[in-house]
Amino acid sequence: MIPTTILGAPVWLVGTAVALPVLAAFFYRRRSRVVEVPAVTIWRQVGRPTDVRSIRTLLRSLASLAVQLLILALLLGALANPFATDEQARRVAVIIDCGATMQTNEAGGRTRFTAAIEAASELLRSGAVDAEVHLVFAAHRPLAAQGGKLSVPAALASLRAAKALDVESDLPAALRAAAFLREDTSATVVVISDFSGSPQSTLRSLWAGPARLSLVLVGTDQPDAGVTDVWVEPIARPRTVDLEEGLVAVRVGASVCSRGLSGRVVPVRVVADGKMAGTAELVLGDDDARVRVEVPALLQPGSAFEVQIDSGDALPVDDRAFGMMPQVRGSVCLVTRGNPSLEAALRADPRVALRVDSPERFRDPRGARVIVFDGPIATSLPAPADVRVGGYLLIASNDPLGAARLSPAPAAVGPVTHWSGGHAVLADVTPDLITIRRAFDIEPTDAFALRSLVTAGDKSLIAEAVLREEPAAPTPVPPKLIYWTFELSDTDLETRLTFPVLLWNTIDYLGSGEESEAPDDSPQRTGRAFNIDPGTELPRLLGPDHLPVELTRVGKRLVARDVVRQGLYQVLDPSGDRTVAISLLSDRGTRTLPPLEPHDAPAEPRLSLRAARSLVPDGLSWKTLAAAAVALGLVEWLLFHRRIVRVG
Amino acid sequence: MAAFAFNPNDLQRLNRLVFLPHVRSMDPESGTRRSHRAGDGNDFLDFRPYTPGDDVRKVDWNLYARLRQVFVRLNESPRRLSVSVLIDTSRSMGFGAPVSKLEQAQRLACALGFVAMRNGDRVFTAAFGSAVDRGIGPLTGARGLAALMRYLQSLDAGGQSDLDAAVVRLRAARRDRGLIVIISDFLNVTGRENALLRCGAAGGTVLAVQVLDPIDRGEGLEGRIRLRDSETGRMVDVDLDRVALAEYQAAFDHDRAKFQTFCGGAKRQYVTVATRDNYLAAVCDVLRSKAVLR
Repeated sequence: MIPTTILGAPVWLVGTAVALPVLAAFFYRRRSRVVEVPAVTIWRQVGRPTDVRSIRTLLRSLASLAVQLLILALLLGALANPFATDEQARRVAVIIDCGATMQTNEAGGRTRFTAAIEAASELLRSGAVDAEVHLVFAAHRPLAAQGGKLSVPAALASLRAAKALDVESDLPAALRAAAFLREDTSATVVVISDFSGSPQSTLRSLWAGPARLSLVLVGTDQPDAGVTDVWVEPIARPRTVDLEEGLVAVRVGASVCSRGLSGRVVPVRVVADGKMAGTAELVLGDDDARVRVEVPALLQPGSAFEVQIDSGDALPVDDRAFGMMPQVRGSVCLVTRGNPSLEAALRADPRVALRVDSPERFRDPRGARVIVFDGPIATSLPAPADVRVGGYLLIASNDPLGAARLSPAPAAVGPVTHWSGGHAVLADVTPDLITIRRAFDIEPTDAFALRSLVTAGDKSLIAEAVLREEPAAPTPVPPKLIYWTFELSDTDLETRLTFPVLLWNTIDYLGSGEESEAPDDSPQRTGRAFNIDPGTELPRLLGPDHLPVELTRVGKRLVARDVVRQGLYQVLDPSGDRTVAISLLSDRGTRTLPPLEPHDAPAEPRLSLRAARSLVPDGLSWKTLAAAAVALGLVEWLLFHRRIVRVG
Repeated sequence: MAAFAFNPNDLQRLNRLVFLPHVRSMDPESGTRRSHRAGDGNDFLDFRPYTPGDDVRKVDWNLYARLRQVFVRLNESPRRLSVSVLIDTSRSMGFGAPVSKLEQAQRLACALGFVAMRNGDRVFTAAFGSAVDRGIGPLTGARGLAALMRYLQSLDAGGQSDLDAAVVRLRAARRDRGLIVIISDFLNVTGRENALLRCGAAGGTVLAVQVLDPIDRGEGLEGRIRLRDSETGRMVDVDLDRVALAEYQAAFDHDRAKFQTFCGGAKRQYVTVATRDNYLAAVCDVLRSKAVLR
């Protein structure tokens, strides 16, 4: 390979271009012009006159020319850096982006990940054979290759087995994982990525150390489109369509980001159970603009569905996102003498069938999953065991079930001091922001105990009544009881955005039959929890590729950690199989797609393994050559040009 | 032939100038210059007592009648100044701008000759260049000026200067008395010190006028050049920058100062004239020198 200079031109071309003027100047100086002067007596007294055409003078000039050409060669050598291969790194960390964007197809049918693997393999083969290789895959978290410190053959084998994942890659975290090499001057850290998530400038700013950081760009930005978000909402049942049993008319919404496909019309399909449930056409927007599309579809509650965009032609528009049709929340009965804000908050979810009764007209709780009592009620209800009600929300209401009693009149309370943050009722709610001016005192009856969820000092503001003892015989699950010991008019809840959240948290909790969660039992980032009985057999989880996924027990949950494939997961449980849709990239719409223009920082011009050391005594570098050239230039000036009047 | 132009309008200014030479520089021949020596002149100088042998025609009888002692009248003996001008016409004198050194020397010689001849002095002029010519002179009066100008206009720069031969010829012609003005650049003049010593040995007053041009100090030269001596043809390669030129000029000035010091030590007068100077001012400098100023 012909070495090239940093300017990109071949060395021989640059050398010839620079050497020609030097030679021309030499011969021009040899053929100096003759000037006649009155006398040269004093000129000959100054300096050391010698014969111009003497051999000594000629040799002296030739020596000067040789030194000048040597200086030129050294400078060109410094520019070409021909000793790069002699300075190979002894420790190499290769960070390969294995995020979802690396699955993009490039020209030639290769994906970016394939190109990255090939580049890494070439890189390792070109380096020192006995180099110490650290292979890190940048996924949602850094994934080190098995074994940590690898030899070059082992690293090549690991590269061959690597696959791209459906996750957002975290390159900064992977770079931090290689920080142990930062102070090693003989180390090189190579990051191979498309840098769609983390610009190269960001990575360079994270790396401050003598070790050499090399960023290798693979892939080019091409026109693309992807589903960034999926949601579903019920719509009115179409009158002209005869629905099958259990199907619900919904509107599946999706956000689509595109780049370089402005005005392009692509079909959007909603597929459930392998059948097309709905379709629509989408006109893609300008670069970095998100377009929303809504597809009317008929889905089974609790079923998984898939949103597909596929242009069906040569354009690389091919993306899928997964979603779950939520279960029907059932019916809610509101017993109140009139509370518009509460009724409006309950009607916010169209999937809920809301029935509103006055305390005087309310007689029969049957048919309602959750009953909300707003204000005192004189009606006595049948025993909890006799009704199939999920739960009761009692808002400043005396207990018709006899589990607890409220004081006759509310008393002033201070600010919220304690709350159970892990309880499902208080999920995504910060109670101390709520102002509650007055509240009733609550006293449980003998058979029940109160679990305070929110308290102001020693006064319970939100509490749950639980049975003191488990029933001896298996009985139906008793209804849950949540007490709000304050009237809504004595709070600022109605004006807060947290009011619907708190209300629906409570209704969901009362209607789901789930138990409260421990604070250390919260779901992990990519995990998916499945409620099981402690003594039952572990279910099996099959991924989208029908391979088993390992489940671990966290508290009362089973968590599949590091879910790196999106798609439909099959839960094989003795009590019944279920399907869970995982869309790992549904949050990528929170940032814009990378620009279509080339990245800011240029890619490494040459892919090589070199250490960051410079001017080291045990090896030549371009700095050494440059220093030698400068030193030779000084010597040349002292030897041949220092005489003020020079003869020859 | 070197271009030589003498402005007649300058004669009026030269009319005001006069040589005031020392008596020892004057010829014993009768002339017009007062010398304070007794002689055959017409102007009264002094009395002295009569001694036998004195010309009785010079006895002042009126004084004898008053004093009853015999005194003899003494008259001044007017002398004449002989000005010899030697002009260097070697090839090195052909350099210079706006006028060459030779042209400046011609003007000087012409002006000095005019001043001398106007005061009744004799002027002898000769040139030493490629060969030592016989020169012209003695010249006196207005006709002498015309002849002097014709002679000067016939001079041209060429060859090597041979001051020693010129001095030998001057002594052979017994003209090495009076005021001897040597106008030269004194470059490439071999044995110039010895020549000057021999030149004044007969009692004459020697005045060395060194005519220089900026090119003699290396001005205008730069870069890597090959210098060729205009008279000998010898070559010297130099790589001139500012520092090198400064070193050469220092050496040149040192050489000139050394020559001036020699002239002072040998009772020879020295005057330097530049080609860019006005020659009338240069004539004044010459006349103010100790060689011609009493």
